[in-house]
Amino acid sequence: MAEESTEGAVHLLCLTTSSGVPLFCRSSRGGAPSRQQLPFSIIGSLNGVHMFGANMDVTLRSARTKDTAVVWKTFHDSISLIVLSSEQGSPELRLERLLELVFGAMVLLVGLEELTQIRNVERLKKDLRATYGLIDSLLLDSELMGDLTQCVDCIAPPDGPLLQEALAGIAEEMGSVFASLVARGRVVAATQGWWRLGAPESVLLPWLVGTLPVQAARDYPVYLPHGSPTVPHRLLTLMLLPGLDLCMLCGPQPPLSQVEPQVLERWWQPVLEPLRACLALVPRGLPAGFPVHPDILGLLLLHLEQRRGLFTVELGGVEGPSPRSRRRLLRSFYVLVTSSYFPPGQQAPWEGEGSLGGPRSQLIPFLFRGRITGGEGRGAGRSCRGCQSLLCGVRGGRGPGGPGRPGALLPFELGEDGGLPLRERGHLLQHRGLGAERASGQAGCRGPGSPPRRAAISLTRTSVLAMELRVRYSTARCCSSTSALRSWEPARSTAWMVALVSGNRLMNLM
Amino acid sequence: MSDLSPSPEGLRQQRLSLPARRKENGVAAARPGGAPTSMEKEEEEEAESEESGGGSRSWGSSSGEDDDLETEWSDSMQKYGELFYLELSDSEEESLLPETPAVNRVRFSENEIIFDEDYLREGKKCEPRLKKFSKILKSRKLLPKRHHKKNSNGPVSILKHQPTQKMGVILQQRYKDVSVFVNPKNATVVKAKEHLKLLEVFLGIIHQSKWRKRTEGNSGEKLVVHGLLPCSPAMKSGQVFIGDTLVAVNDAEVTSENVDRVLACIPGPMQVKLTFEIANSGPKEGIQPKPKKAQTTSSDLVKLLWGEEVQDVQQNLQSTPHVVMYLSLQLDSETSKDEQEVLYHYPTSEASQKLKSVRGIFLTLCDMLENVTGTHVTSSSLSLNEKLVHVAYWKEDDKLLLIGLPAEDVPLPQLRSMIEDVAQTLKFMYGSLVSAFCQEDNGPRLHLFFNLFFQRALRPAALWRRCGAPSRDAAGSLLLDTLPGVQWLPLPPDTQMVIDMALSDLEAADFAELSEDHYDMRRLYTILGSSLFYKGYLVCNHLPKDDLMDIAVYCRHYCLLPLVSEQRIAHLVIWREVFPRRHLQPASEANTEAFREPGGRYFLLIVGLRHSLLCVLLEAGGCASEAVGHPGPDCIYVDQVKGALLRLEGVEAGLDARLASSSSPCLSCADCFLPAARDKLDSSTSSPLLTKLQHPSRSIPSPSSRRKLLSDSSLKSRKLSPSRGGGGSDRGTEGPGEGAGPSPATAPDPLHKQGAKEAQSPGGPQATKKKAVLPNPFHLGRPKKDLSERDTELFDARKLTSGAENTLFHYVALETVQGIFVTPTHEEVAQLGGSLHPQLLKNFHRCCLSIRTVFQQSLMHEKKKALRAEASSLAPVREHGVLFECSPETWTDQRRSPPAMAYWVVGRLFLEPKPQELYVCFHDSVTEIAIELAFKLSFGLAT
Repeated sequence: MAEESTEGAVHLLCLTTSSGVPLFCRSSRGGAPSRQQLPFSIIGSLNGVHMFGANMDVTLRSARTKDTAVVWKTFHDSISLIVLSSEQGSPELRLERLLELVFGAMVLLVGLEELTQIRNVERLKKDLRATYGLIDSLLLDSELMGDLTQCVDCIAPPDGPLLQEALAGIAEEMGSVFASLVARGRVVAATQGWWRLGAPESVLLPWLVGTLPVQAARDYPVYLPHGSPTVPHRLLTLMLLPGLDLCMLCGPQPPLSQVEPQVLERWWQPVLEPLRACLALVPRGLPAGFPVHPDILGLLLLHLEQRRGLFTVELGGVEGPSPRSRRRLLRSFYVLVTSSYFPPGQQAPWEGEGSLGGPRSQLIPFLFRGRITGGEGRGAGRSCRGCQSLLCGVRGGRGPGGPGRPGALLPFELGEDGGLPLRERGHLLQHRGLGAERASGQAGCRGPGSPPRRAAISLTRTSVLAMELRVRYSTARCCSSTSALRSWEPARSTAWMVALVSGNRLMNLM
Repeated sequence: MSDLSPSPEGLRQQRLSLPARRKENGVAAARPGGAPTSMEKEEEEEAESEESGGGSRSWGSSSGEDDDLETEWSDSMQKYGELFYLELSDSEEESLLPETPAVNRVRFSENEIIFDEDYLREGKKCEPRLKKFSKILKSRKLLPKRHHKKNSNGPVSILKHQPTQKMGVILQQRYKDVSVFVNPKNATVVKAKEHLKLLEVFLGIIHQSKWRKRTEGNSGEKLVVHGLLPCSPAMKSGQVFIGDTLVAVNDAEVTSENVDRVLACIPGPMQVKLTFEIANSGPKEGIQPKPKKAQTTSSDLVKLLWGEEVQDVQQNLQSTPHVVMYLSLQLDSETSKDEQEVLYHYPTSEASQKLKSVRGIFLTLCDMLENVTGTHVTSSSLSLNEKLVHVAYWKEDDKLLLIGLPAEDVPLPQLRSMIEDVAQTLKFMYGSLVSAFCQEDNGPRLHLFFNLFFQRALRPAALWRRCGAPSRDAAGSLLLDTLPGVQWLPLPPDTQMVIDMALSDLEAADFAELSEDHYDMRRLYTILGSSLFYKGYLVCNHLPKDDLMDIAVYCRHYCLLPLVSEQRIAHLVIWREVFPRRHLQPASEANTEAFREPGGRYFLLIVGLRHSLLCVLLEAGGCASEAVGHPGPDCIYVDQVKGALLRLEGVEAGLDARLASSSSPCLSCADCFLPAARDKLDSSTSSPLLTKLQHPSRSIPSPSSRRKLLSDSSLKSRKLSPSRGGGGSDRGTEGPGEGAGPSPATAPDPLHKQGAKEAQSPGGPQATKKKAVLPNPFHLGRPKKDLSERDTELFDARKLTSGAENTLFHYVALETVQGIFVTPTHEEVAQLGGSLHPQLLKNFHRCCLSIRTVFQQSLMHEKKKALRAEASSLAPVREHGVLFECSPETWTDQRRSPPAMAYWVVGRLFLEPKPQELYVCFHDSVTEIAIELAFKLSFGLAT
């Protein structure tokens, strides 16, 4: 056991807190599901130490060896989740988020009541089997980032307003407030109600739709972990195109049978082309015409206030690391930055009024840069063509329209003209973000259908080059905006963007 | 000791007088009752009465204090010959006295066990040897013609009789010390004519005693100053007034009876300390001013070191959960004693007890996770009373060392390196963790050890503040303490050479008593190497890196460096057997032909004097004679080390000048870069420097700040033109815009300042000029470049950042191979001043901590998986930078948003050619390419 189990294995244990009966146990190895499970004695002692501590009024939170981390968490004094992970770069932050999401998934499918008042353990075990698919997908390598960022994965369709209109219409006709278009787990468009869903379910519902087996229509009972953990709702999904589902949350009405094909056709036939377009968009996430520098290999853009994120690693660059490792790079970079600079739920270590006086005087980190050298350095005699990643951020606008602005179709409105010039030095600087804010303020007043905000983000060729010129043996570099801003300007939202930039162009230049 | 002039003559004198002291020590050590401690009052009184009745006494003033001290520390020897003797200089102690009247001069930190007979016997093991030496000395007629027997109690210093509660305060006020320079050679000419009034001849103090003498008799009349001779030392000092009473010369009490004898012992030209009783001190007693708060608190560290209970300090820690435990993983099943697996536990607070009660968790985790994952458990986190506590594990030999500290005080990566340091220090001190924790009588010492440890970990700022170094914030000390290196102070080559030679002389150990010929016997110890610290900076190191690190960790742990940097210590002697890891690691490589160092026992001798600290690693066995039992500190070696320190006294001025001058690369103050809100300021100034310069003068419109600013810039321009002939000629070349830019009112300022600087420079620190040649933090040797090349390189090196302005705020360069790091000194930082700058530094240090953590992790991954085809995690990271934005703390203008300044903190890890880490902090306005340039330049410093 000890010898072979190290490489990237994740074990997730679920036990009842009071009795320590194992409810389920899921494992994955190297990003793929694994049947190998921990021996029962290990499970017992992992739970035992935690229980022992709890009896002594000491809560064991986590433990680490050189390459493994273990995190314990108890939910509602009833369910204990333990995760043991030897994946690289999986600090506690990631594991804790994972556990929260796993518990959210359990509530989503089983309901909180079942989990907190356990009458029949065997029956609960059987019920929980339904969650395996969803939970396994959380343990595995995913194309999505929502599990980590707690933001809804979105894509930016070219014809957002059209889709939005169709969606709003059908939602009204069906009497549902919550409707969305989900393409392979990513939200294409959603009603305002849907965007207002709370934290775990907003991520979990598209995720769930992405993991369920393909079916033309589903009527799926779900509990909303945040919104209604005890009363189930119905999740209706209707497949518009293979891989593209219309999701609606409704009460007892209307039954699935009422959803006539005619209704669907009436609303969706006119926008069939846009629908196809967004399906084609799925891996890339950005419209084809959108200017992205060819050296950018991947991108993560988060709108922290609206809790939406755009994550793509398939922007066309063929060179450099594979999409899978690009994804992992971005994920681990995100974990690194958030855990060391923006710890969740607490103030960043460099804020704090005690240390620096008034709230205005804080020192705010708002751009990051990190460089990572690939394994192949000059020593190996190969060219230094590693991958280079770049995470840069712009503080997003705070328009009066805000998150709930009608017609906010795109998760991020991106200026096609590449609107935002970067400073020659290559920083995405803050005042640019403020400029965008003003622009968005005007745009927001115009209501639906108004031209998208100019200006959120773009990277121009020169700027990227300027940023990269001096990097010789590095593979990743990043800049990010701050979430720390929230602490003193809570209304101001923050956006993130991460990009991977390949380095071959640089090599030529140097 | 301050009485010794560094002149060669004085040195010879000093060396000559050493054998004499040697003898005295032998005698002193041989006295069964032990030497007088100035701790107890009765003894003092006794000594005093002895003194008054004792009548004649004569002693060499050059060695007088040393005699005294040696008897003092030889008394404080511990079991196993350990010694920790610390004495603050008088001025420091005066500041301590009023608040803590009970502070004794001599305390031992190691433990507070009262010496019983056993210990004394232990301590006397070296006696026979000493006796033999003294016999040898006698036979060689090296003993001076002095009455040592009578002096065996030591000429007792006047000041040492004071520290009784009530008197202390008053006496402080009534006595003053005046240092005068006396040259007996000059005086001898005159002496022939007048008949032996040395007081007049040497010092120029006229005391007319004849008529009074008759009335009072011979028994020690007070030496009242009745007059002063013109041009005499006393007159020149300007501090001796008519009516004062001379009570002591070099701490030897004098009366009219013995003054001539005492003065006759002045061997050559030297500084002499005269202690006067102030004439009209009476009325002053009442208005003894309360000492400043900062001064009184400065004693806490010393008290901690002395092992005293500092109540309030400990109280502070009570609430924070912290624990250290040493657990055995192997349990005897038959003896089911409670808590038998707990071998050591500290402290006894409630939270600590609770953590102890859950030790089962740690034991289980340690065992189980190792089984599951195949690697040792390194840490775990618990929440205790709503507080997150990190516990770090250190497993060795079936034993488990645990240290738990709250997460808010110590981040996890730092905790890990702390526990590594603790384990290393304990191994250095005791050989192994088992011997450290399992020896019966080690308890109190360990308590002290961990008390200090927790103080450092949880209240670093407090400890530093007590030492009066406010520039080191918590994060800063956390960062610098966990760096695997000591702060090195680059020196001008000539100074460096002087120091190098002095240490080499000492290490050669081929002169005087250290040579084997001297006593015709094998020497006791071989000096393996030494390293010199000045004011907490490593100045010179002749030790291999591992040894240096061992010693540095030890010094760090006992806070010796901050202590020395802030307080003048009169005397510090530390002696203990140590177990350097370099020597004790089993020779793993099977290379038998390679030279193997002789096995032996190792002893660490640290002698501190004023602000200097000289650490010497001694080896017994090998080519020196084997050590038997637990030898105590050997007086000869202590003397020689101290001699080396005294010989280096002349360098101190140079070192101070080096500290006072800002070095290369030069820094800027963050406050200068605050862009002010643009308004009426004329925009005609095109130079970015000027806009930057003028804005702060708007935002902080105090004239002083402006002056500071401009003088900064003038300094900068000066620094940019290094030793290229006269500084004046090319003054203007660097900043052509500078002269034109500032408004006429301020324009004269920089010139004036510069002029003043130049006026000073010929007289005082020439070293500052020379220092330009050496900005090489990574090579201890001399740079090999020819001059012109060096000049240009230098020119670049002075300013790390590119562009017209100097945008460098701070830097830390760590050189892992040598175990040193270079960072601006406190003095430099203090010179920069500014209100924003300290904040920036604080942030810089915090950020460096996290960047360094990233580097460590990536290095760990790299080691583990040498080369992986796929880069799936962010390893290896080579560079990491964070951009910050900050605004001034006080911004009263509500309508406008405060001006902001953006700056980068960038860390860079170099693996080739040598592992190095560099952390820089600079203003955002530098073009990005400049960063690479900055790195290159810092390399340029190195090559």
